[in-house]
This record gives sequence, structure tokens and C-alpha cells, in this order.
Amino acid sequence: MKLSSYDTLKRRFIAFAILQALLLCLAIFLSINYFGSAIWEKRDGVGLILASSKDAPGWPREMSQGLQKACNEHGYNLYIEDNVSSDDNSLAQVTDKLLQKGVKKIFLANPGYQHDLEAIARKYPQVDFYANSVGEIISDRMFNYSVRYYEVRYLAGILAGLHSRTGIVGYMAPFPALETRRDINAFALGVQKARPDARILVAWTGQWISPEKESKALYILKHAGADVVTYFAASQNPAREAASLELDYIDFHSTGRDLPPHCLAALETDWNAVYGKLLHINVHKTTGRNYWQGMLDQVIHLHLSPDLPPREEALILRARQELLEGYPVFSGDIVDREGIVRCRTGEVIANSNLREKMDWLVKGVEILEAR
Amino acid sequence: MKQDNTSNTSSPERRMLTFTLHLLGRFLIFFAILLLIGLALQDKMNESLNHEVEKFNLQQGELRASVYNRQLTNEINELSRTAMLISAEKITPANGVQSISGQGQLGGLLDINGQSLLGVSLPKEARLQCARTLQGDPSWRYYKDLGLVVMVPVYEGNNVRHILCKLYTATGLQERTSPFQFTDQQENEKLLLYDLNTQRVVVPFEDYKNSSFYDAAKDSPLGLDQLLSKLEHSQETAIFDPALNNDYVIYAAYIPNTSFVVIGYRQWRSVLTGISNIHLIVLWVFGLLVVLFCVFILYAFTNQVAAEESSALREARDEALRANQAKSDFLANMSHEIRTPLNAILGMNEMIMREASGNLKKYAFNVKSAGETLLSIINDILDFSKIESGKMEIVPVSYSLSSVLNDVYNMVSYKAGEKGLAFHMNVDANIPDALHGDEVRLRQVVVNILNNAVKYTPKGSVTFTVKAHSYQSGSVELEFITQDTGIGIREEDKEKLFAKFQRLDIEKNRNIEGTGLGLAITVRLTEMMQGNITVDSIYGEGSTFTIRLPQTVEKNEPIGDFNARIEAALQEEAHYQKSFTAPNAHILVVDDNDMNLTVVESLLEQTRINIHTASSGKECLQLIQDNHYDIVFLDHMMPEMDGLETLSRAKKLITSKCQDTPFIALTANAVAGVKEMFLAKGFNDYLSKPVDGKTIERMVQKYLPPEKICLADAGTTEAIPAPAPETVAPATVEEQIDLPTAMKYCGNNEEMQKKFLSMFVSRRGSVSQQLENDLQTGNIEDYTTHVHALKSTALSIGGIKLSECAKALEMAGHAYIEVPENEKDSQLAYIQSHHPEALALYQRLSQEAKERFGLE
Repeated sequence: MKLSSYDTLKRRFIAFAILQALLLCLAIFLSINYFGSAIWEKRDGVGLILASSKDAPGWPREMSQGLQKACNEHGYNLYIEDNVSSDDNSLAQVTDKLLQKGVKKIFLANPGYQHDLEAIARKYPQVDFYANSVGEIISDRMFNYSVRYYEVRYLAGILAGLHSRTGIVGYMAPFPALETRRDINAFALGVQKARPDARILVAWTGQWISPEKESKALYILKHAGADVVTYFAASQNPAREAASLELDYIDFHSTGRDLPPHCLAALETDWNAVYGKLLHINVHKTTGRNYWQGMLDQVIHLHLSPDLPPREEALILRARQELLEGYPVFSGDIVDREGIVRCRTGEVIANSNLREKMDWLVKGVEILEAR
Repeated sequence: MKQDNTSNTSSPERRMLTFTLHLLGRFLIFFAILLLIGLALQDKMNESLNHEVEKFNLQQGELRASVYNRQLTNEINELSRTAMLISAEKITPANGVQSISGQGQLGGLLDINGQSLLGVSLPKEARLQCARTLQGDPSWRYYKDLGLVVMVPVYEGNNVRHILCKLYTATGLQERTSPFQFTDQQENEKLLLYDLNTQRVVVPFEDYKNSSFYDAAKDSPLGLDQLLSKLEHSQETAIFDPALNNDYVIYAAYIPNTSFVVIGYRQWRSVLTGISNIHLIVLWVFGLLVVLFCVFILYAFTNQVAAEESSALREARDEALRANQAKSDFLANMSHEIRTPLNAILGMNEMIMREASGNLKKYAFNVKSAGETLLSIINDILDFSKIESGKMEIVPVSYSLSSVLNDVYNMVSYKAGEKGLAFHMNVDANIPDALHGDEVRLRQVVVNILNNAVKYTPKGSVTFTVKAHSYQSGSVELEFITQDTGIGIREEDKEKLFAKFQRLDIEKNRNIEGTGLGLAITVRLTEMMQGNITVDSIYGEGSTFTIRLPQTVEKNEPIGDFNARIEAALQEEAHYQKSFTAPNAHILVVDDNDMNLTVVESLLEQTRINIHTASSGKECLQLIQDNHYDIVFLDHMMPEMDGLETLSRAKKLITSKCQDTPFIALTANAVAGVKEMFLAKGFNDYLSKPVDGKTIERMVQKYLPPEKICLADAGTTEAIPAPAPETVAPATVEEQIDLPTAMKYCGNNEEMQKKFLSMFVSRRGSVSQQLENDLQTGNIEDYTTHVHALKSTALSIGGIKLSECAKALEMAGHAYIEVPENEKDSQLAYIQSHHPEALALYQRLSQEAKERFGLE
């Protein structure tokens, strides 16, 4: 049946009216449902300040990726400022920039910023600043965070002691600072636990980052007879250098495990867990201002190479189990290079002491002077 | 559409029902939408409210958590003090342990591996707590079935050798005396402490396991899973989920530095005392809005209904207007159709009147009077329907006001006289006479009003005053004032006065005939002529009608003393002899149409005047040199030498014996202004063709020297009775010869009519020949003249149709002569196409003449 134009028009009109009504309803529903939702969903910002590029292999990348993941989980927007020099006052500018973006928490990746940060933290009391260091507490305006690397260094020491054929293990580190001494001592205790007669050679590079000096130090260590080395450096350069020198090594960065056959193990830091805890807890309510997480918090562990001899692997796993059950690394008889007794059987070096005052090295550690 | 109409008209109830249903449906849809919106709004508001409640409880949770935290910190501080005393060797460890023990609280001293040295001994897993303590964290742990344990290190210089611990037994925690039981727990809020590590309730509130907040299936506090999943991302959380509990909000908050969570249940109502009122107010306002909206919608619908009704009304009005139009058309057609037979009736009646005598004549006279009334009514209706249908047109022509007034006077004074009323006429002498306007309608308007005045005035007088106001150069406003001493008009009737078919005061006027159309027509016509009409009346004393009409002035010559002219006319009327003889008089009639000559001869036969005839101007000039004539009738349009030229030559002719003879023009073009033209050219008067007996007699009597007129006795005029026609053909539409018209032009003399007719018929051959000839030679000028002659002669024998046809051809001929070259073709084409029609009509007329009147 053919419709008259009047009917067609009428139908069109009705369809149009219904469409209009539906659109109106939809608009009303949407406006009711989404009204004010934006306010509830407002997210706070988190800033991360890095000395190097955020994509540089090693720490920077691991930290930024870990923090990014933690921010996603806890509902924060992350703003990363990388390549920020610690020498000039660019830290202040970067901080201002981050504050304008609505950032409420700022994490600093490198220990070098500490001193500049004090003034800035005083200037912006509404922002929480987190310095990557637990050594010296310099300000009550800031929070300090770090990882108990010494626990893994202890395991690494055991592995080095077990693995070394020469009985000489090497340790390359930048400066004799609090952190480095604590790590070397833990490493030395580990080596001595596995092989009480072993020599622990330490080579200082004198620089935080210096590929040239790192290579040189490794060369010296090799020539001093070390066949297993480990290091403390921001970059992964020493690992590559050690491999090229045909030295077995324990990598300080997790990516090291990609470099067999010389890589025995790698220290792995779960930055996601580290930052996740910091973002989760309300720092203003906890009693301490230091967040020093370790193996008990499951933020670090020693990732072993699959090619390790079974005996070594079994012993390492047993040692790790002991640590996880509550064995304190710095306990029992400990004597320093000067012969001073630092700890006796049945004693543990107090946490505060560990954190702030370790100005000695364990007996058996030898310093290699660069010639 | 047609179907629509039938269904619409067939069941108005059904239509009403559908309409109501439509209305109801739309209303319900609107209402449903509103309701949906309202529900969504309420939902949203509840959600917001719950959100707010949750937010309040977040703070509550935070508060509770900080209270617990302070409590736990206090415990640690107290223990630390004891540890310091032991470190400083102020007290022995045994005393220290002793001092911290109490009811439900057991002190103890451990070595760094968690082995008990003094006091309480702890399970193996407490070693981990020791490690934590040694790492510097203030340390609280809950051990299943055992209780809550707190540890602090006991320093020995830089190192730690012992750990001081304190156990709050599980049973002790549940007692009211426990430091973790808040005595201020209220009826509307329940608190408990939960350990995430062991997934146990550390410190339950009183009667926890029997309360509604214990989830027996999971052996955990109510809503724990939801709380924990929300707690993953924040420090404190709150849930209001009616599926869990309808009245209580559940909140939870971490206690810093521990694995404990405080979980609280708080009554919803207690949180929102004031806000729930706001909630109610908003709902109430929304309800009010809904009501208002409903009212508004109903109002809008009502308006719509009203609009639809008014559109229905408009349709009805249009329908009525269309019906009215149809009625008008019908009336117009009908009255036109009625007029034809009515004319026949009147004509026949005229015959009867002529032949009858005594009573029969009286009856016939009554028929005539009634017939004329009927005719005037029909004319009124025709006029009115013409006006209504917009077919009435105002045709302005040049006219003479005096002639109009003259007619008016003649028509009204007679009627007034019949009724015994005095009729006075005052005409301002300064009014211009030659005007331009619709003479016919002007006359009609004025006569109508005057007739009305006469009709409604039983006794007294009717006064007619004519004035003119010049308000613009070249035009004038005529004012016709009609005053009567009649019955007057009631004030309340004045509005109805000009309505159609409206007759006022019917009781009183029932004996006055009329359609009630007169004034309506008058008003319409006046308006059409851009004039106006006003009425002023005192009921019972009389009325004054004033008509104002603007007219264009043609020539600014004043009308003069019109009253004096009337007087003169009256005199003339008085002197007019109804019948006379003038055997000594001689007149000359000049016309190229010998039939016209015969007509004049016949009309004047009774007067026994000596009549000479001439068929051309030349012949006329010849005759006036030879004879003296008392009057010369000179035709205007003649071939070769027309009337005007003949006259001017005659005047110049010194040998003429007719130097003082009055010349009277004969013309078929009796239009306004023609009289003046003839007078200006030297004619004494004019007669319009076809001439009728009475007019020519009056004209002759006026111009003949009085001594030549012999008054006949009254009997002679009626002494010549016309013989009755033997067969009176029924008046049919097909009739070519209109007998009354013919009779009019031959002085009601049947013999004469027959004579004219036979002459007209016998001339057919020559006339046709002449016309054909003219047309073929292309001599349109002569053709026009000849067809002009045919026009008037045809009319004089009653051949109206032929006359009309000839007139049309004549007009076309004139047009052909006058129009420019390029337009001649159309006129010629008209002539050529209608020429045979005229000849055919002539033929049919002749045929009819033979059949009807037995002519050979």
C-alpha cells in the first residue's frame, strides 16, 4: 500500500519526536550520572627526579618503571623529570615545575640531591619529599628511603667465596662511604662464612660514574688475582667490563643476568614494591621517617644464574632461608681491620648503628691502592 | 481524505475517545519519563549520600586508627623505658620482666634468635618478629591462640643482646579491663581490631560472635573481603552496602607500623542526622516539580485542544463562506433566469392590458404592478449577489449630474405623489455638472435611499438635498442628504440597519414590501465607490441619510438652478398633449437606413404631419433648398456625409429655406456627454435610436410652432385599437423577435410592428449583400456604418440578439479603424468570425417572422 504524503510526513514527525524524547532522556541521565564525578576521580600527582635519563639501563629505568607501576596501582599520576643535574640549582626549578602540575609527593632517585633538597623541602611543607638515602638524617622535613642491599651483598659474598678458585674475590666501589662500607662488610662476612681464608680485595674508583676508572679498577682487581668480582656503580658498565676481562661477577643490576656465562647472579630490586609501600602507607602517621626495606619486605633478592653448580646454589638458598627466618647479617663475632671487636657472639649490631655509624671495615678486607 | 471525513463525521464520540486516549497516552509518557528521571535522580542522590557517609566514616576510621596507634605506641614507649632501665643496669632483667607483667599481660626476655631467657616463652615464628625488632621497627605481632606480643630491643652499647617482650593473652584482650577495649564504645558504633597476617580478630567487641556483624560462614567480621580489597589502595576505607547491612556503614583503617586494621560498624542514621533531612527536602521539591510539570503539561494539552477546536471552527467558517458563495452564485443565476420569463409575462400582460377593459384590465394592471415589484426585487437580488461574489464592477464614465438628478426626480416624485407626500429637492447651484463616475450606480444608490424614505414615510415630506464639497482639485465630494418625516429607526437597530436581509421593526412595517436588501446594496455600492453613508434618526420622528461620494470633475461648469429646471419640466409636462395632430407641419427625416425612415413615419402617422424622407446628407441638402421644414431629424452616422457635416453645410447654405428650423440629431450611441456634443455642434436636441413613439411625439410637440398643433380629443388616441395577434407564439428562449421591445418602438401599434418587421425582413438580401461586399473589399469603414444601421433597425423590430451581435461587430469595426496597424488583425479576425453569425441570426429572424407573424 502506498502511503499518502500526509501519512509519510506524520510518521516522520512521530519518529522525530520519539528520537528527540530519547535524546533528551539520555542527556538527562548522563548529566545526572556524571555530574560531579570528576571531583571524586581527581588524582594526585607524584614526581620522580632522576640524574640520568629515565630510559638508561640499570637503576634509572628500573626505578622509573617501578614507580610508574606503583602509581598506576595506587591511583597517582606520575611526572618524571630526568637528566636533572645535582650540581647547579636546576633541582629547585624542576621542583617548581612539578608543583605546578599538582604533585604531592616527590621521589628523588639519586643520593646526591640531599643537600639541595633540605631548603626546598622547607619551602614547600605541603609536599612530601623522599630522598634515596638512609645514611645521615639531615632534615626532619624529608623522608628517607632505601633498600637493605647489605642483606643481598651477604648472600653475594657467600656465592663469591664458594665460587672463587683462587680464594681472592674483588669488590669495586666508588668511595669509602657509609653505604659502600656497609655493603663491603656484609659481602666480606658472606665470603668469610663460605671460605674463612679468602681475601677480599677492594678497589675504589673515586667517582660515582666513570667508565674509564671502573675499567681500570677491574683490571687491577684481575691482576691482583681476583677471579670473582662484584661492584657498586650506577651503570652496568662494570659488568660488561668484567665479562670482557673473563672475570666471573655478581651484577649489581638485575639486567646483568642477561650476560652469561660470567654473570653468576644479579641483585634484583623490586622498585614497584618499594614505591608501592611508600605510596600506600600514610607517612605522616608512622613513627619513623626512614623506610629501609629489605629481604623481609621482599623487595630485594639475589637472582641466581641457572648455570650455577648445584652445591653453590643449594648453599645460597639455605643462607637466604636463614635470612628470611630472621638471621641478622651483622651478628656474632665481628672484628674490624684495626682489631677492634665490633660484635660478639649472641649480639647484633643495632639498626641505628648500622645506618649511621659504620666507619670501619671487616678484618680480611684489603684495599687496593691504584698505582 | 474522503474516508477520513466520513469517519470523522460518522462517529464524533469515537473521535473524542481517540483524542482523549491520545492525550492520556502522551501524558503518561511524559509522566513516565519524569518518573524515570526522578528515580535516576534519587539513585544518584543516594549514591552521593552514601559516598558522603563513606567519606565521614573514612575520617572516623582514621580517628579510631590513630587512637589505637597511640595506645600501641604508648605500650611500646612504656616497654622501651623498661628496656632502657635494663640497658643502663638500673634494674635486673628479671625485675624488668616482673614489672611489666600483670593480669593478662606476661613479660619476657629473649635472646637475638627469639629464645626465651626469662618469663614468657614464645613460639618459633616469633623469631621473625625478633629480626624485625632488631631492624629497628617497633614491632607488634598477634599469635593465634596466644595473644598480642610486643617487642623492644635491649641495647648494650652499639649492639643488642636481648629483646624485651610482652604478651597480652587472647583471653585478656577480650576483657573489659584490657587497654585495647574502648570503654566509650557506643550503641551505634562497634569496633574491633583485626590482624591481616593471621587473619584473626585480635580485639573483638563485646558479644562479637553473636552480633550481626559476625560472618559465621567465613569466620570473619562482616564485609571483610570488600574492606580489604578497598584497603589495598588506601589507608582507610568505608563501605555502605545495603546487601551487607542496611543500617550500618562499615569502615576500616590501617594502624600505622602494624599489620592491624581497625574495623568499625556505625549506624548510617547517626552519621547523617541533618543530611538525611536535606535528602527528604530534595525529594519533596522534586515531587513538587513533577506536580508542577504535570500541571503545565495539562495546561499545554488544554491549549492544544483549544487550538484544534479553533481550527475546526475556522474550517466551519470557511465551509460556511463557501456555502454562502454558492448561494450567491445560485441566486445570481436564478434571478437572471427568472428575469427572462418575467419579461415575457410582463410583455404578455401588456397585451392583455391593451385589449382588455373593465375588471379584466384592473386585474391585468395588478399583474403588471406585482410583476414590476418582482422584477425590482430580482434586480436587487442580482445586484446583491453580484456584489457578494465580487462580480459587481464600478465602471466610471463621463456623465451629467443634472440628467441623473432629473431621472431621480422623475422616479421619486411620482411615487411620492402617489403616496401623497411632498417631495422637495434642493440642489446647490455651484455643483459642477459634468462629472466622471459610475452614473448608473450613483443613480441606483440615490434612488434606493429615496425610495426607502418614501416607503417608510406614511405622511409628511421627503426632502432631498444635494451639496458638493470641493476638497481636491479635479474632484468633488457629492453629498446627498435625504430627510424624511417617517417612522425613524430605533437606536439599537441602527447597527442592524445595513445588514443584508434585515428588516427592522417588522411588526410595524409588515405591510411594507421589500427584501431587506436595498440598504445593504446601497451601502456596498457606496463603499465600492469610495464613499460612505451615515444615518441619523429619531425614532418616530424621521431619519436623515447622508451619502458622500467622491467624483472626478470633468468640466467645471456649475449645474445652475436645478429647481428652476424642474419647474420648467413640470410646466412642459403640464403642457404635454397626450395626443395631437399637426396637418400643416412639415418635417424632414434623414437616415441612410430606410427602415428607420419608415419607423419615424409610422410613429408620427397619427399626427398627420407631412413627412419627407432623405436617405443621405446630399439628398437632405437638396431638399432643404426646395422646401421649408418645421423640424429636421438628422441621423448622426451615415456613409459619405455624416450628420454633423450635413448640419454644418446646411447652416452655411444660403439658399436653404430652413435657416431657423431646429435640427434634431438621431443617434444610436446614447452615451453620456453626447447630448452636449450635439448641442455644441449646432443641433437643437437629440433622440436616441431606436426611437419610441412617446419620445418622438413629445420631441415633435416641443419643437413645432404651437400654432401648427391641433389638440385632439381624448378619444382619438385610443381610437386606434391594435388588432390582436392571431397566434401568440409561446415565449421561448429561442425566439429572435422580442415583441414587447418591438411594440415599444412602434408606438404599440401592431400593424406598424408588422410593417416594420416585413420591411426589415425584405431588406435582408440587400443588407447582407452590402455587408458581404464591404467585408470582401476590405472596406471596414463602410462595413461599420452598415452594421451600425443594422444594430438600430434590428432593435426597433425586437431583434435583440441580432442587434447585440451587430453592435459587437460595430465596436470591432470602430476598434479596427482606431487601433494601430499591428493590432488591426485581431479586430478583423473578430469581424470575420462573427460576421456569419450575424447573417445567420438575420436569417433565423426572417424565418421566425414568417412563421410567427405570417409575413411573406
